[in-house]
Amino acid sequence: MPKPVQAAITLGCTVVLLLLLLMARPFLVASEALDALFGVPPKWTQVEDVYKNSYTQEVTRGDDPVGSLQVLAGFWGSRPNDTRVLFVGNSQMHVISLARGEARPTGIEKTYVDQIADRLTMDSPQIRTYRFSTSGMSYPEVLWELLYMTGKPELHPDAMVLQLNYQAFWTGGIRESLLGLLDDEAFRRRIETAASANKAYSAEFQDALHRYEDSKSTRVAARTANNGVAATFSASATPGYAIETAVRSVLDRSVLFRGRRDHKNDIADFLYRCRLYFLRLKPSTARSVTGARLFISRAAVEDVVKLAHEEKVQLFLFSAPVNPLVSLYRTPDDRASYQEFVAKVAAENGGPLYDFEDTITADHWGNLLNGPDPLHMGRAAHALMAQEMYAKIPLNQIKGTR
Amino acid sequence: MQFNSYSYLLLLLIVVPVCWALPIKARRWYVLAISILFYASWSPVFLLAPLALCVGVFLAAIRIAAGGRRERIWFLGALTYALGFLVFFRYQALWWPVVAALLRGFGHAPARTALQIAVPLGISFYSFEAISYLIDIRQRRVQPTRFSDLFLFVMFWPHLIAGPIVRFRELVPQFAFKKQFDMAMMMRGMDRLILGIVQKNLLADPLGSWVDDGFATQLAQANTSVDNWFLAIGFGLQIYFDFASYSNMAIGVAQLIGIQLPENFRFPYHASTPADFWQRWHMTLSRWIRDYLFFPINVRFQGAPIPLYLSLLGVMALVGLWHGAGYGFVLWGVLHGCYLVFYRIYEGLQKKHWSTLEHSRITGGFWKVFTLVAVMAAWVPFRATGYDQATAMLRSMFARFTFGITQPLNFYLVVLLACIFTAIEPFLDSVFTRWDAWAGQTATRTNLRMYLLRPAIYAFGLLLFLAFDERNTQFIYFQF
Repeated sequence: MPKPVQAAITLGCTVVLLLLLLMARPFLVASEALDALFGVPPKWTQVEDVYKNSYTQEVTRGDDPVGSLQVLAGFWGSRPNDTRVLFVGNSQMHVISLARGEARPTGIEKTYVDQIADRLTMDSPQIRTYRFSTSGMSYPEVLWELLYMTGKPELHPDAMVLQLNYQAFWTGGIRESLLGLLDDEAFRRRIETAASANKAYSAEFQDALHRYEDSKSTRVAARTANNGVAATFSASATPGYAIETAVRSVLDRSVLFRGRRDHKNDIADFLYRCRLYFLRLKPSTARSVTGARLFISRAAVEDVVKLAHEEKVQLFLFSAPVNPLVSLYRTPDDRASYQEFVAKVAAENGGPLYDFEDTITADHWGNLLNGPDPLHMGRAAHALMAQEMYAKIPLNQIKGTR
Repeated sequence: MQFNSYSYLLLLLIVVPVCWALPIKARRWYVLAISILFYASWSPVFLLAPLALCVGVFLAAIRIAAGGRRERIWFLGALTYALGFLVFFRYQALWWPVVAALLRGFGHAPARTALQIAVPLGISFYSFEAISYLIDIRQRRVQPTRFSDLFLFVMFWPHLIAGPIVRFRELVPQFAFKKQFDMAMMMRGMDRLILGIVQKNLLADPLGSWVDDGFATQLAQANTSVDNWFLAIGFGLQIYFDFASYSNMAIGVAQLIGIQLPENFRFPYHASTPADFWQRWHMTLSRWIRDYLFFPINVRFQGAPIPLYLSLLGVMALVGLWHGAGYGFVLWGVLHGCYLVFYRIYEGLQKKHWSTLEHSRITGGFWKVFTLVAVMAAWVPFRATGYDQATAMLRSMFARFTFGITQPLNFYLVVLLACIFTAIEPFLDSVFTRWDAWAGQTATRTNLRMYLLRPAIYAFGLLLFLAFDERNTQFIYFQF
């Protein structure tokens, strides 16, 4: 057989095998095999049919807060005299992970925030609640969101119920999906001021501003390049970039090509499982929050409190429930230091810290793959949490402050 | 057009077969045309820079080759011209303030505080190649033949933007394309190309996003020593995978059309001494510096130690400056100069007094560890956002040790994973080489390798490339 033909056959075989791999999702299969090997609970324990309502929740869970806030602005804006209560926290507020022994879901389930919202609306019909919960929330993000909402009359809340969680103190950064809020010029100025204020979180805000500028200039340059007018040199304003854009748009017509991101997620999930199963490094592995991350998170929380006071937003701080089977603190000092800090913040806020850290007993928590879930609770726990919070936090006494 | 872009990889599917299908004599013109189109895909205006450089250098080369009384003047003039190109474009930040001050002295206030002339891509690389051509002409190692030879030497697209830095006499003869079709080289090219795109997308870019986050924070001073070591190592691995991936792609694409480019990396983090590191890291730049700068300087001093040490420091500072007009690059170069001087001093002492230590495992181990630690530490000023950050990080790494980790856990795991990969790289390479040789021993194995195993490896590599595709990433060495 002529050698060029042999080379062509090799190339053809490569393409066929690539298509097969794209269809077969090998890393997903490998993850499922690992799950089976390590005895992971069935998938239905992670409740998928959780109650959703764009007027009372950030339904994208942090993926598109810009769109969600636009919907909320329209809703709240049309009811200017109602009292607005904002719940802010991490995925604990929107995930139900069934505990062992809890029945398979048969209908839509509600998390504790949604249950509190139902009770509140029943008791005080003029109160509107909004759950702004995002997976992997960081406190600089909370400050970012509050700066945005308090800058807009139609989004300005009267009260905010903020979840304090040790885990959130080791999370940082401003997620990509929040950068879109910077399209609002007044908000961008507020962020620029905070970024140049020499606060511990200022660098994170500066980084977010840079990323926003980069994405904006790429967008503009790509437009320019596509129009065939490459004014100055920038990677995104070259003829090559325009060709690449065209090639990608053609390739994007193929379902297999569009699915390439799924493979990245598959690989990430697979590696995560390897970390969990083989290295035994869980998201909840006890650790000390120190260094830059600690300073950033603490400064952000302190400024959330200050901002709430300046903007006349009544602030309720509560400490999130923690799974007793999971030790989050590496040393007793870490726990003492954390508790000292939240107590100090509560004092600055001028109100109590509603402590729910030990409210939920071990048997009410879900499972994260092959171990106890540090964050997400089962059906009964959500009901209990709603009852406890509603009883302790005087939410139904909130008055409009705007 | 980026090497790791879809458009580039798809174009190769057309460019490579057409090249092999063309009559041998037409191929060099075809390669030149493709090279011009490739460079124009960044900006057609950029073409003027290599064209002007080549025209000037070629005219001077003819006069130099002709010899005579003015040969030296032509040589120095051409050298100044080629260096002037580099300085004009690459070092605007250095010379513009001087020019502006002079203009102000003569009462002309310049409108701009800084010049913003777009730097043609790859200028540092092809300027050095033009200079090596001039020196080779002057030393009668090559003869000026045709302008198209020089232009093709500079413009040959796989190495145009970021090397490897080649020599005229090792590249241009290959454009005679002696073989009608070279299957073995083409397969090696595919191996290298796939390896390159996987290194870039799977290792360099994910590491880069973590490292960028770590260096971006203004609170680097609050990082622990452990964080800072991981950041330094993370960046050391990122820049290695980034540049090695580019080199692999360049070498691979050249091999696809039957051209062999010199190697640029040989497991640099396995170096046994600081001198060995520079025989493994950016090998073609080291070779250029050694042959065209270091040796000519040291021939005059005949190995006298003090001038040798000073020239090492000076040359390495210039290597740093080659990367850009930043103090961090120069400091990086000077640090490497110090390591080399330190090693030379030790070598001298060993020869005179400690000859028994020559094959000692302890000293061998010491130099291996020293090289790795010193090289990683030197990346800090290279990458740091400013002087304060660099000094704070180095102080924390060496003087005020603090434990604990403050970055996300995945950052450390990704760096460790990359470390493991780097550690076993030579082993993987030897396994692959042995397997390849074994698979070629019988017709059945050859067919199996050709139509199943190689395609399976390529397909898996392409899957990883697709999965980790991020559109707006660049190669670090593009900026140099």
